[in-house]
Amino acid sequence: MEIKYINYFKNLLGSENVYDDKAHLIAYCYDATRTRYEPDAVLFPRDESDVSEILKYCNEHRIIITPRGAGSGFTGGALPANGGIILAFEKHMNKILEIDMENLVAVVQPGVINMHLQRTVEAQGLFYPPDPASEEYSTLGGNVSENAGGMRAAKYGITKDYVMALRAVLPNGEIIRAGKRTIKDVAGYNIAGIIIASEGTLACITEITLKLIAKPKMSQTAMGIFPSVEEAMNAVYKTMAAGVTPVAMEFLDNLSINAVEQKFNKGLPKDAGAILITDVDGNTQDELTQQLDIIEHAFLENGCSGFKRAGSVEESKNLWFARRNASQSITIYGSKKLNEDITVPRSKLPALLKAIGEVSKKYNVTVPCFGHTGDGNVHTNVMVDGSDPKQLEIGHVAIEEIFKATVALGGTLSGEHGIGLSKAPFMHLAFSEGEMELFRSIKKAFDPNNILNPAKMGL
Amino acid sequence: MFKFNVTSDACVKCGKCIPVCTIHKVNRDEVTSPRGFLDLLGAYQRGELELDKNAKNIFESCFLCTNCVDVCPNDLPVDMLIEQARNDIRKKFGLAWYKKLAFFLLRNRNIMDVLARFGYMFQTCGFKMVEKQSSMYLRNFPIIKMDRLFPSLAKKTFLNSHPDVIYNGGKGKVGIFIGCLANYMYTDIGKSLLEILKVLEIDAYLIKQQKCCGAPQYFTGDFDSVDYLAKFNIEYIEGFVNELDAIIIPEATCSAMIKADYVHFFHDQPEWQARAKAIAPHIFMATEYLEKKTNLAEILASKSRRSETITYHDPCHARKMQGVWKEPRNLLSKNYAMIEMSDPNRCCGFGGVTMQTGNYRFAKAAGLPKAAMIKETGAEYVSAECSACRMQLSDAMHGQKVDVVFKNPIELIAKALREG
Ligand SMILES: Cc1cc2nc3c(=O)[nH]c(=O)nc-3n(C[C@H](O)[C@H](O)[C@H](O)COP(=O)(O)OP(=O)(O)OC[C@H]3O[C@@H](n4cnc5c(N)ncnc54)[C@H](O)[C@@H]3O)c2cc1C
Ligand code: SF4
Ligand code: SF4
Repeated sequence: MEIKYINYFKNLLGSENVYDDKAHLIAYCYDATRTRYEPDAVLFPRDESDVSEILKYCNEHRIIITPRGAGSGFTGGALPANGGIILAFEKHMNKILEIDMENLVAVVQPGVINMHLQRTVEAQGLFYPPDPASEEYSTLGGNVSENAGGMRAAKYGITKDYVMALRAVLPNGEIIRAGKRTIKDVAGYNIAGIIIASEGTLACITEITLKLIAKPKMSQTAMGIFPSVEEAMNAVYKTMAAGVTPVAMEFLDNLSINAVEQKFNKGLPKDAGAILITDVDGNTQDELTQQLDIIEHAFLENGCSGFKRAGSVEESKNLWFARRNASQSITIYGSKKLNEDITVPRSKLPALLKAIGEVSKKYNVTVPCFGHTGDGNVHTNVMVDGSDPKQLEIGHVAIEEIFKATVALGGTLSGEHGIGLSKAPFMHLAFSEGEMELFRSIKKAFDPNNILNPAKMGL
Repeated sequence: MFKFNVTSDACVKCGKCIPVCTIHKVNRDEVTSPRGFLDLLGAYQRGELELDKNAKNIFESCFLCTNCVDVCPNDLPVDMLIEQARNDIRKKFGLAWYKKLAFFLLRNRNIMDVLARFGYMFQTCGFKMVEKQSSMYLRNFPIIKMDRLFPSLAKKTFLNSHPDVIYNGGKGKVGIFIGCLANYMYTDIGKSLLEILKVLEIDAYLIKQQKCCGAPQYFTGDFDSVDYLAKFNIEYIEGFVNELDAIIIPEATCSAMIKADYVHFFHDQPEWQARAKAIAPHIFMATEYLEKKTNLAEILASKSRRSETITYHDPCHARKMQGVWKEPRNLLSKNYAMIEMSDPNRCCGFGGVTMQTGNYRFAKAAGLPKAAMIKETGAEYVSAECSACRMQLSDAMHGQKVDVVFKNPIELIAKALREG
């Protein structure tokens, strides 16, 4: 980066917030995708006005900027694919600004870690439900930008369902407010709705107003063992139709069960076709028992060969162990996992898993699956030997075929992780040229000089 | 030697280690995070990152608290890699003169003993004593900032104040590895431990030829010294270990070093690794041994309840490295009221010699929340079986004017026995 730019930023932010030493360029060149692109500089804005000044200057000098939260993204959203500046929100802009007990609202800066907010509001009897598996380390700015979801999505929805308002800085430096701290708001375009899931391509989010709810007093976990995925899914439909919406309803397929078992020896049923793990919540034990009775009935009616209710926090943790450790366990099938988080309407899950089974056979790759039955979101993992370029190639072909099957079943490329760089080549499968053109026009309206996180989302 | 890039490549970049990292908590920058350290070490091995002054500062900012190792799904040994990187740093930059001097002295205990005596006489010129804490803070000293609290040297070291063997009735035989800080500075710990063993009628063998366990040198990357000290201590301990029921250590860091880190350190010297492994099962933290293997808990239960309140801090080297945390609480709660602080498992921020000198601002920042949570409990004593935590916490509390007194659990237990 030209020294005059660096000097400008040092004047603006102080030299302790501007870095272009090799160590910083290396440490900010990756995210959870493990792909690498070095930036030219790393900046740590202290507040919204810093962000505004930085963007204004970069816009004038056509310097590319990539916003970054915790770098836990699974699709490369925070990677500086074309160099330029990393704008890192983690260092200073990480404060919870307000918890409004009357309106049940929290106002936070974008660098706040999801779990930090959850813990803080829970201490006051409130609840922020979106719980991506990365909740302990991903930031709320990153969550909003990727519209992150989690285990509780089936009952409580995803990040977008909790964003009431945003403050953000446009690429020209202008500060905008989008949305209101009111339940109803019909004035103007829903700009907040457009910024959510925009992966840092439209504006830099500087403040987020989130909806909170009252925390249910208790919850209970149960697990069911099934001979096949179809039967497990039928049990899920029956449960929902009977009027119970579990907080979470997660499945592991046979390959995933065996992986966890091989790695941790927890006594899981190795020949089961699938297991379902579910959580219900409420304010009284009666409420929980009632829900679990209905679930147990629906499960047993559909081939469930074993149903277990957790009697304590410890037992609950034990039942969840398999699901929580599925992702790391499946590495026994191959050193590299090409993981996707495709989503189909709930009713199409068995058909999707069947299609995946066929792809797996056709290309001779192992594809363990687990995920959220409640919302049709499946983590498909094409396992290959990472050091063998030929296998990698085959893996990618298999992925493309899985995407096609997903779209054909009325599904989407990503339920949680976004598009970023990794899924950009597949956007044409899900969107028509006309739709892509609309996306491009929106991007242009926000960012005419294309300085903010370009090359993402296949635009 | 580890190949840095092998471990670096095994990191899946999930980021799980970042929010628990002690240095990242006070400096939220990817370069000072476990994931960042590993990636930078990989780049260093590949020749992409030079080990310059900047890189040196980065690798010296890790507290070696092992929080990251605890949560990493792949169990990557971040702390051990950092230790090795510091060895490279030391080779390239040398050791600062005051570290060289300190490590030389720790290698040579008899010189240290003499100096300690002189030090005791002279320390009053430069330091002001704080009576209650057996600590002092600095008036003027070149390498270190003013107004920090330091432990004061004892008049006579613990090991030089007692005979080799103290017979208490022969109900058992334990060796005492006292550790340097308790030998030279906090001598009440050893005295208290002897009082307890007397009540239990267990004979005490003072392992007098012991040398520094090597932890300070390990954390600073002075591997030659570690190699020398570890081999000396292993050989020395082998000489009598089978005659004793156990070797007990009232210090988390020394105990973790001898029990766990010797085995890690000798990962590429199989013969020595095997010897380190063989002595490991005989090593216990003092509270661990007293709680599990003696009837101390019972005896304490027969003594009166006391009015003082204690909050217990978990040293990283006790809880995370050795799984010891219930034992001291179980013993202390027999006589004292215990109040848990909000996050007892959070690292105190001591971080070793380099952190306490060159990177003191990080240590200070890491100490702030700890001092605050201790204060919040309203307890009269804060306790931890670790004298490094004692130095750091006493300094942090002094800086924040928190009026809570630090005691090793052994001191508090002896007090309960003594005062009935
Ligand atoms: C082990 C693991 C498990 C995961 N589980 C889930 C899961 O269950 N559900 C799920 O949805 N995701 C999951 N993820 C993916 C990831 O954690 C989420 O996408 C998360 O929201 C990213 O947050 P981050 O702070 O790491 O953002 P980053 O990765 O740093 O950035 C993500 C995107 O947001 C943009 N961005 C960040 N901050 C701002 C800002 N202030 N303004 C504008 N743009 C910004 C970046 O430019 C980038 O495009 C998981 C990841 C890992 C590693
Ligand atoms: S040992 Fe502690 S300070 Fe060092 S990287 Fe790990 S968590 Fe951070
Ligand atoms: S937890 Fe382990 S694998 Fe994950 S980023 Fe940290 S060191 Fe890497």
